[in-house]
Amino acid sequence: MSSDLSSLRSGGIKMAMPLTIIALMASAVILQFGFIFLLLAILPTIVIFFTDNSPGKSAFKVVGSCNFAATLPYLAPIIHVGRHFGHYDISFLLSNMTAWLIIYGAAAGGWCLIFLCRVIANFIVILVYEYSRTALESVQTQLVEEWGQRVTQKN
Amino acid sequence: MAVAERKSVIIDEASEKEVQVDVQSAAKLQEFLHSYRPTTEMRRDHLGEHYRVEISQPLPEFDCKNARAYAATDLTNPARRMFAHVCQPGTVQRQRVISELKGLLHPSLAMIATSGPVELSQPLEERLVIFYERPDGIKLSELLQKNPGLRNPTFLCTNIIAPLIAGIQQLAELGLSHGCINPDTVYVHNMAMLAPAMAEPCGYSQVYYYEPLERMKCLPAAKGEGNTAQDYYALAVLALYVLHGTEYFEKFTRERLPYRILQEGTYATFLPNEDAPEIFFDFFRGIFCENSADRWDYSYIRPWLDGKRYNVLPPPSPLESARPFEFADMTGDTRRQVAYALTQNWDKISDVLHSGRLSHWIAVSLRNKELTENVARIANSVTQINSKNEIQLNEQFMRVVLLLDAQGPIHLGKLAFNIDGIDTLFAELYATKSQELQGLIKYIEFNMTSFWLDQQRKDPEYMPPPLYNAMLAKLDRIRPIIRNNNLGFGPERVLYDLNSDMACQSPLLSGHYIATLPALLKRLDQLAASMSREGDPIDRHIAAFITSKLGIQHELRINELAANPALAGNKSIMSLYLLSLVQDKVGTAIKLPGLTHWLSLRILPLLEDVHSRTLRQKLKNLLMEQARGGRLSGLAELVIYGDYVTADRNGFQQAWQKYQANAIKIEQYRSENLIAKQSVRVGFSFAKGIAYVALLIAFIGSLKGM
Repeated sequence: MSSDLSSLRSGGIKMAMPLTIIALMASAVILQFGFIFLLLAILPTIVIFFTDNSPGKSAFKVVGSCNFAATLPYLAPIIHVGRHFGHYDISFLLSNMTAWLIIYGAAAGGWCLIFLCRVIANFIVILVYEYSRTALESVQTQLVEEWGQRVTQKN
Repeated sequence: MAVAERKSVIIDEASEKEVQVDVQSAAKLQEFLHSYRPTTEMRRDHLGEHYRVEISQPLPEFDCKNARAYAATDLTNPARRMFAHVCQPGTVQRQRVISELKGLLHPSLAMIATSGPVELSQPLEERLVIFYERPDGIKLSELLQKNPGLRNPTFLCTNIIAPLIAGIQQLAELGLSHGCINPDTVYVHNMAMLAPAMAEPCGYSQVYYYEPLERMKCLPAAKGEGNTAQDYYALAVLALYVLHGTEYFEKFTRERLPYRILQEGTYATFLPNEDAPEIFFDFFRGIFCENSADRWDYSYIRPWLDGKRYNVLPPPSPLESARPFEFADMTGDTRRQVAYALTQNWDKISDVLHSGRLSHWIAVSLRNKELTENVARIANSVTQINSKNEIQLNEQFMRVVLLLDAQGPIHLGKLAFNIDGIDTLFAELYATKSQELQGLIKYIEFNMTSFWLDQQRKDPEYMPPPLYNAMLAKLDRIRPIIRNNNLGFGPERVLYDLNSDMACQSPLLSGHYIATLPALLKRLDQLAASMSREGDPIDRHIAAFITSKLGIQHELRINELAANPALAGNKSIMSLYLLSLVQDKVGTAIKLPGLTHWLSLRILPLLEDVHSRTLRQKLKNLLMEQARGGRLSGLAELVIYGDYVTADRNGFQQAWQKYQANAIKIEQYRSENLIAKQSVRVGFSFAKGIAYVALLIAFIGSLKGM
């Protein structure tokens, strides 16, 4: 079962690059100049894609999701116009400092989220482990009580 | 850390509590044993309600080597003149003869009233005591000393020979023999009467010249039961004694008499000048013949006494060879003489065989080709055997002697015995801790009897007597177990297998006469109070005694406890196993609370080997219950057949595996590395979840905006 999953996963990774290229080409066709805005907006995501060493590129996924979540509201009108083969003037967007602050702020927020969650998770893991350890130690005590110290001997 | 310490304290408290319970249980058992006073049915010096030994009135004239004689009283008939033989511990009595003659009334035989274990007042011991009616009159030796005029043929025939042959004939009809007829065992009031000789092996105290050659050459304990032929022989010597007195025998020394008989023949040895009334010639010639099968018995002597004359020819002088064989300071004209000379110079047999002188003499003087070849073959074997291998050398020497004299007793080093005397010889060697015992053990182990049997079977008419057959069967049974030296086997087992009526010789039972399994159980139960602190209720002797009585041929193994070798091989458990078998055999009606408490006290600490505390506690409680019940089988069902060992072992293995797995998990839960890794993994999961939700909301919001 786990080997099936891993083979699917490796297959998915192999397919990711062509799909991304196709998606980018489709985006370039639809967004036209908006595509430049998109590239600039997801710059933090692109950077982290290449620098992320975390297992399963989790940091990329978090930062990317946050980055993309902030970009999407600005990208939606461009896509809407592009769908009707119209022209959207992106100069207003490029010069909108608030938009850039939100977009890059969201990417930075992704990083903060990672850090914060890690701290919370650390606390929870310690709590769960402590509970499990105590429960196991209680079982061990019962075993020793029932079966004697010989049960603790390695051989 | 504090939690761990608290848990450790809990375990210590539980262990301490268990130890306290154990101490209390052991104390209860000890308390019971301390106050346990089983009722003993025995009254000092009494055998049942009928007989009493008068231990203050010794009767040394009836003493024998294995028993002291005392006056005795029949309490139901005090006028009855009685005496009792108080047997020495560790000695063998003729139980078959006792049981056959018990209560038999015969004018020529002293009556055996009864026999059994009696607790004596002096010494304070339980011994086997045999009660007899005292023979009337005085000893023949004393009578003739007082009245030499009785040394006449009429008195001899009428008052001595006639009643004695009637007594011997009665013994013959019962398949018994007396074995010790001499002037001190013949009592004369009006007619002669034979004093009993059951308190020791047959012929044990017999004067050597009253024994025929084949018994004279044996060790006293190794003569065997034989048959009445030896009694008629002794009767003939007794007749000579009556006619001539003790001085007549002074010239017959123990060393030279066998040699003279072999050289001249029995008749010529005892009557060289035929110095006896002529009417006795037939009698002496008929009895003093070399072959016991040809010896006169009742069927000849009774008619002879009635006046019938047979004109028996004097036996010819035994002569076989043209030239005598010279060896040491002896010369031999016959094979039997040479055999005797060899047995008297055992250490030099090797030289004779090496030199080839013996086979040369047989070839040249006897002209016996088969015998020459056989002796030469043995001589060849002897040269190949290491001189330090005494057992093998003795076996070869034994073969040479048997080849030359198949009738004589078996000689093995310093041992000389008849087949039916092996049992009593073994008992004697064991009791005296003789080094020769090893030789006899090897004799049995290596089946050296087969060579003797081969020699006998060369005579096509040879029929082994029933006693010989019984002994051969016993030896066959013993052989497979003789090498086994475990509990219940070894020399002790051989001792009890050979002497099935012998009392148990265990040091635990010293001062007690225990010859049956019920008596053993009762005695151990009585000893529980005093012996329980010293050890187990079984030692090698008791174990051998039990296995012999129960006929256990295979090694004692408690398969039910095989999963726990420490328990399976434990002596206390083995004691319980054997004693419970005994109780099963003799019947569980006998309650043995002393013994069950004793065994429980020994087994209680062993239960610490049970891993499970719950099971252990349960077993201990049940053990205490069973101890109160007094049934060994109940105790055995719990401890041996309870099937708890496998369950405990399996449970322990599972618990051990669980503990080890848990220990690994606990270690992992303590690992900071793992915590960090898990934190990262979980943290990313949280973060991804939140980010994906945000993305979803943004996506849905954007879709609505479009």
